[in-house]
Amino acid sequence: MIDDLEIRGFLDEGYARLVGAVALVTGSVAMAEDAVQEAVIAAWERSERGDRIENLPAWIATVALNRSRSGVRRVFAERRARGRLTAAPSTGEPADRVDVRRALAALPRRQREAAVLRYLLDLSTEETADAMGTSVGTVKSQLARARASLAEALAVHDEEPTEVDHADA
Amino acid sequence: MPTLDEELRNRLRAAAPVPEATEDLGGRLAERRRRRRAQRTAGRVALIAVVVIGTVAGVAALDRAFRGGSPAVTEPPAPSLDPTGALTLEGIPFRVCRPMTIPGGFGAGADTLWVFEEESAPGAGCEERGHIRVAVGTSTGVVATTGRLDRQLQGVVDGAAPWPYAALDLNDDGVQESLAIGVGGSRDEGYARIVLFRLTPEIGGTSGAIRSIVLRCGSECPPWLGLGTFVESLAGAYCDVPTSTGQPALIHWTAGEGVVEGTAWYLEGDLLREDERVFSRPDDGSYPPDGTSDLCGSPVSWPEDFPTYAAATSLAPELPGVDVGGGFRLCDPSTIEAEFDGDAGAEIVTVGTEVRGDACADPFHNSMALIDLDGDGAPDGGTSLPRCIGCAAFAAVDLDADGAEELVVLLQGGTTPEYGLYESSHANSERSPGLYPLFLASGATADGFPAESPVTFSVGGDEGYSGAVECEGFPQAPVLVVWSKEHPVDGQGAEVTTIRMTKLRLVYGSFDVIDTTSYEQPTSDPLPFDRGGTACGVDWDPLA
Repeated sequence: MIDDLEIRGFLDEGYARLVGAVALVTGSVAMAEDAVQEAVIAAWERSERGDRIENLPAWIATVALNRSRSGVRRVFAERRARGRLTAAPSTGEPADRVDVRRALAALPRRQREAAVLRYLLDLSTEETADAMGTSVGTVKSQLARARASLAEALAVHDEEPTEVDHADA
Repeated sequence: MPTLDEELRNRLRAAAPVPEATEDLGGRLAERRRRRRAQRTAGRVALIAVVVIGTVAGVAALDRAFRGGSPAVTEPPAPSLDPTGALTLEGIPFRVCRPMTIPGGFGAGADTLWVFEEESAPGAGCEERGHIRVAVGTSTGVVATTGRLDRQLQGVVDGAAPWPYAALDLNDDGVQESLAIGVGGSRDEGYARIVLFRLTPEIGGTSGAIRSIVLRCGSECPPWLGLGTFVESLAGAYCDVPTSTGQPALIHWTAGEGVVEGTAWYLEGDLLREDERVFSRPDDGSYPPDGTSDLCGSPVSWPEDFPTYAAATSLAPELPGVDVGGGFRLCDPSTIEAEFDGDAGAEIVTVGTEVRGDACADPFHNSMALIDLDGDGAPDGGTSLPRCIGCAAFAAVDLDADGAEELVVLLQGGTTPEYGLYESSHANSERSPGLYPLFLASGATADGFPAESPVTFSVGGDEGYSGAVECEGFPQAPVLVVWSKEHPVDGQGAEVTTIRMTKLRLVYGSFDVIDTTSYEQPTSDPLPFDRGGTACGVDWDPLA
């Protein structure tokens, strides 16, 4: 059993949310669960070795996203072929959820990551940059593009300044 | 009315999937980790068993030799294609399964290529798929004078599906220099992949060797393929002539929802290049669902008379170097154990110089790093090391905060040691098992880091050159800061030194240059960096 209280706390409070976020990025709940669980095990190993992780949820999110990238590549070609097909989804889910997932799936990977980290995990711009392994400026530009694309795809009007503008003004 | 950000936040949260079962998650993770440890331990126990058995057999052979009696000859098992029957081959340190031959043409002197799988564990038989191994033989697959199968085992890949092996002449020079091995997955599983090797036989005397490299994409690889990644995600492959370059091309394709689409690859030197054509057509079922065994050349043949031999009747000459498993011997080996592939268990990297014939080869051109990913005592892949003088496995450090550590190799020792950085294939990666040099990201440039070359840097230094590496943001968001200063030791220009600083961040398997600067200052001025010390948890002084 995991004896690290911080990791157990993450499993109780942050696990499901992070799986949901990684699943939105990768398009696969199974892949997301696998990546997050691998990241938790890696954190656990580090904890036992005495390595300190300053921000555990952010570290696990970073590792899980990094790990999910190679898995995504594996199925990329198949998905690319299917992606051109426009058949209506048959998941039985509410249409707006499907619309959001489809709109996210249409974004480039980095825009998708930026949007999910910011909007779903509530990471700051700096934390998002750390998780994506890129600069704050790049995150801002990726987020702005993602925001514009999502607004158009979801037919949501953009009448307010962005949170990035607020936060970094 | 909610703002756009609020609207997006609400809708993303509503759309986020939830994991299926979270009850007793801690317990399940603990079990997952325990299973991995158990598998690793079992692999090591098996290795120890092999070593012990081998030692006992060796003592027995020596005993027979010194007593002068007739050597006992163990009858080999009859050649068989029984899927559960493993074969014993003289000269091969493990039993083999599913042997196949590919007829000749692999350069001068090598007529036959043997491809087979290593028995998944000693005594396990052939029901489970094992590592695919490659050996080369002369005309009949054996050397007549000794009855030995020439071999140098290379190109170890994980075999997971009954895919074909085939010889390819990808550059249309009349020589089948390439070998395709299909591994992993199937069309039904949604993906499959194929590994392309370039083979270079080296035949001399009674010892044969085959060197192989995995053919890779260059910097023009599409992002999804990734630098150094082999062709993957195919549901089938076939050969087509010609491409826009006039060369034959390997088309790999995927099929789904009535559409077949693919990419054409051709060979240029050791790099696979993506052809301009995009292949797309309706799926009319005319493509074999599980690939083909007739890729650009010779079909695979099942040998009816695969040779098997009794146990060795003569003692092998003493070879230099150290047996590092899997048929490899390395001179001056050094090892490092760390969590390289992200599977929550340590892997072992060995750095050393190849043995050629009965001597250690020139380390400058013949050194390599090998990695044992599965803990079975045999390397699963590796990489050659350039310009090696006193190479050593130096350190392991997680430079991209993905939970898997990168390998630091000391390429050249001395007062100005040079280091190279490598990453392992990850446990869930589509890459073939092995080590890969880290490059600058495509399009990135910085003084002192040549394009298309692996990233290396030097520290320490002397009067005319100094280098240092610093680290920012470690361990959560590491950035390597590489410094150098350079100027003539005396004469014109000696009074001014050039300072260079480059900040590198490892992302997606290559280094982004996030800052770089270069300026001059009087040589007598203090340097803006310290030549020694620890950075990213690594003490970069090899003499420390």
